Amino acid sequence: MNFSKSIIFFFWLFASFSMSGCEKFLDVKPKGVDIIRTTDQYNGLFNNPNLNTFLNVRNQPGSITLLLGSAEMPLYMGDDVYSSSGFLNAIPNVAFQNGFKWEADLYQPTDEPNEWGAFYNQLYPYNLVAAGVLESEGGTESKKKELLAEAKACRAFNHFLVGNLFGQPYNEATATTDLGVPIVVEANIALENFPRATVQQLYDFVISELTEAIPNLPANPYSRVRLSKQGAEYMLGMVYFQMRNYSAALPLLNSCRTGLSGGSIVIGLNNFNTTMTNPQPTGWYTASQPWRGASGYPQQHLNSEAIFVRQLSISSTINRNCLFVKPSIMSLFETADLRGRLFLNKNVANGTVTLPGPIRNSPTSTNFGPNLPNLLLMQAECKARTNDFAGAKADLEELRKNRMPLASATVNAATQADMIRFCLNERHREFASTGMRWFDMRRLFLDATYNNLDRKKQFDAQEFILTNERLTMRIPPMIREFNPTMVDNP
Amino acid sequence: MSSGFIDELFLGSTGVTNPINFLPSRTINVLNVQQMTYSEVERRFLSLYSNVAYTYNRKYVLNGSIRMDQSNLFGSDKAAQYKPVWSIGGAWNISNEDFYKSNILNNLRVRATYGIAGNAPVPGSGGPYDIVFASNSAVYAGLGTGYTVFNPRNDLLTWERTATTNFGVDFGLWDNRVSGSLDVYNKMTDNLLGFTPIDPTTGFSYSYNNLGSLQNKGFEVSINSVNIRKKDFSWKTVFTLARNENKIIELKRISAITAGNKLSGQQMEGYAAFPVFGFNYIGLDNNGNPMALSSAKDTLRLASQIRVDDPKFAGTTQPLWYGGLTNVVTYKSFSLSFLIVYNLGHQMRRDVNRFYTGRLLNNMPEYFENRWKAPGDELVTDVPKYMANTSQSTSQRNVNFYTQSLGNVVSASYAKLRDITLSYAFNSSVLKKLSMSDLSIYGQVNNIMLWANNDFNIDPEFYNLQTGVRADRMPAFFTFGVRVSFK
Repeated sequence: MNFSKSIIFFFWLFASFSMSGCEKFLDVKPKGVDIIRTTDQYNGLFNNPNLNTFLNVRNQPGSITLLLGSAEMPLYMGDDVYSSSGFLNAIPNVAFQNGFKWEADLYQPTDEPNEWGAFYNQLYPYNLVAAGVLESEGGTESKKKELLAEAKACRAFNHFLVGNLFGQPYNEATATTDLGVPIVVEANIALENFPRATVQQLYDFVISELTEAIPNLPANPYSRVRLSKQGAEYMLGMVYFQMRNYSAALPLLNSCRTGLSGGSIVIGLNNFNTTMTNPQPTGWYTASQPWRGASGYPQQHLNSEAIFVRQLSISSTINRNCLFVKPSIMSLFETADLRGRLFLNKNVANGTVTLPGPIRNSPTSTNFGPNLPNLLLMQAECKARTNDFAGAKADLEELRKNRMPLASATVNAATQADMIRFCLNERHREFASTGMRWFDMRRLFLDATYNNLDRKKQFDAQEFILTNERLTMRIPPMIREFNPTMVDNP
Repeated sequence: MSSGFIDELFLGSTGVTNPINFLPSRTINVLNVQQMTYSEVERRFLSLYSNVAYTYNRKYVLNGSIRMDQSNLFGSDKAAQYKPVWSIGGAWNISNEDFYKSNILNNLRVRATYGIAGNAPVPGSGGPYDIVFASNSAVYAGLGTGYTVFNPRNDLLTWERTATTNFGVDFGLWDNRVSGSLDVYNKMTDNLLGFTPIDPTTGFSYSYNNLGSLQNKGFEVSINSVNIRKKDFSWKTVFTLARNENKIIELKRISAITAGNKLSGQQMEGYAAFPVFGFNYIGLDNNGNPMALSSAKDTLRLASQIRVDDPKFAGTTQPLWYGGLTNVVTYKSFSLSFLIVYNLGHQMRRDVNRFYTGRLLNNMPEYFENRWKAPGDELVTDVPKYMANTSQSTSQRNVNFYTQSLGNVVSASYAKLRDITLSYAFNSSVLKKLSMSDLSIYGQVNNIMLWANNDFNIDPEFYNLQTGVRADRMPAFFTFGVRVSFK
């Protein structure tokens, strides 16, 4: 073949392949590793164990997922705990030590902030569903709408939670200028320079997404790890509750409570009169090993108090034996209150170490998602604040009679103020050292009458003072590095 | 039920309740059978390759090659699919020209090539689709197969591309008794593929990405020489020499470079791929604690005073020069060969004693005895004092000014006799009697250090050059053998 002929052949070969033909051949979607096409697959995106726990994960080369840690900072920043250098300084996570001390800068520049990642990581699959489920193959229109509603509600709830860590607390007077957190509604890793929404924009987004979702969700609870209408009503009620808009929260919480009984799963309170007085199998408490507390407490997805599981694992904090519940909180427990058995000044592992103060020893996770005890407590407080005295009393007693003998469960409050204070103290008793207190601190610090923040924290001879600025975490340095225009908190 | 899975159902029915921890996610048993999973992989590739060479009159050569790969893994986006790799080159056989007349330089040819090579992203590692894997968790039993995204869609991912320019000369002298080649090259690699950190706000903290560019340049020389060619005696030599220098032109990083990043030899823009940095150590103060000079000529005593510019670039841990020398001498049935390898021009951190505080747990090197002990010693020694209290040592000084000083970055150059072999092959008359096709005996010595450019008995081949830690050294070893093959 001479030169000119070979050139002609060479070009002919290319022309024929590159112009036509092969596009269909190559359009076949890769199999094995799968891509999301069908409604069933979009449904499957919710059945991901990483979504029911607020855990920061990192994807690594070779499809390895590394668990970086639980978003436990709220426990350390709580005003219901204190610590001692010998125990706090022994924990490896310096950010938690800083958080305990209410310092301004918590993370090192190289820290991958768990409290940011745990909430933003989960938005990706929710955003994938929201963007694609309506065009998916093989599902009915109502199923697609239901999945869209679930995605919107779940991502709204994550925005609400992360906004209560890194965004300013909701304050009606300044919400339009206070900064919240970025709103992310697109599954796209190429996005850059996320702007922070204002607190008002953030709450408007959360409320409209939840409001839109509620009518399309399954009518009654059918699973503790999948969202129903009641779960979304709880979420929206909790958002209004956090905004101190108690009259808006109450109808949603009431509607949630009413609908709980109509589903295929049983939702009810655990009766501590049985479970915290008997060993396994009928109970969780072993009298000879009191340091183990409720050692048989069920996992959240099997816990009848859970309406929808969005949990925070606090087991590593428990095992670190470094957060002691303040005497002022412990003094709120009546002797008969069986919740007192969840706190002891012994290490959980074997009870051989005597600690400077009582630690929470169980359960090992807190459900930040919809759950019956918080539903009752929010209902009671909303009712107390809107002058439904009897309603508040009934809700509180419903919870209390499952936490202590009936004789001690009665609520005696003479005035509205007494009733509200009773509700707030009941929240302490139910949620001490679980991280839930953080949300109450941000809700109550502007409450003219019922601000019950304890702004002093003891640390050996030192004392740390909580300022209002420290009710909002600063944006972690790594996040600011990626988003140079992002404004930090004071 | 003596072995195999524990039948919890059975245990339960005979009156034992909750016999074992039947955490559904952790136990495989008759009540909780792991669902079977299966997968199928379908990948399609279309590749085209063409190679053309044309020689005119044995003087001028033109060659070219082109290759195109398409795959369903890249998506149908034209930008991702149509990435041809190609090269084009030419050569001129000067010695075949009519005007060329030389009895000494009998063969002379010059060459030049330019080419683009590509590296496709790892299949399934991103691209136009979100890649998921299926999972079945007991927590979601009855709710349908779960899917987890493990590689997010990334429309911006492109091929890694290396452009290489090469000039070469081939030559032969005295009827090719001496022949060889010289090549000079410059390789620019853009869109290096790798895992890079990304903003966790997107939902992922790492992604497979194009992360930077790298330049490699250098030359290679190879010379073959037949020094002696007699009936019973011959001596051949092969010599190679290469020089390579690389530099990272661009690299995406998660955070700004710190002094610590430099001292641990992290890759960074503007430096060789494997840099070594050290402090400008200026001796001990009158307390026996080390001092270093900052880039602004201030005296540094504490770790907190270190700024990013203070560690100084001291070279690279990759050899700049390397090559080998092989000699083969044969005399009648005896043959002697040896290979010398050499690596030159790179640096390593010396493994100085790093123990200056805390409880003594190991034997100490002799020069620990020369440490600062009393004021005035700073005039005669560089070795910091020992402080028993570790937290005082940390708060009052930074021993790294001494251990990571520029003076403790030393040359890692060395040359080794990789092997020397003496063999004797029996001649054919012996073989015939024994009906063998080959019988030879040999002795070999491997791995003899000829020269290492350091005074500390460090073998840089068995050493972590960056951190300055010795690894187990492979000693020289001897082999004797008989090689036999039968007809």
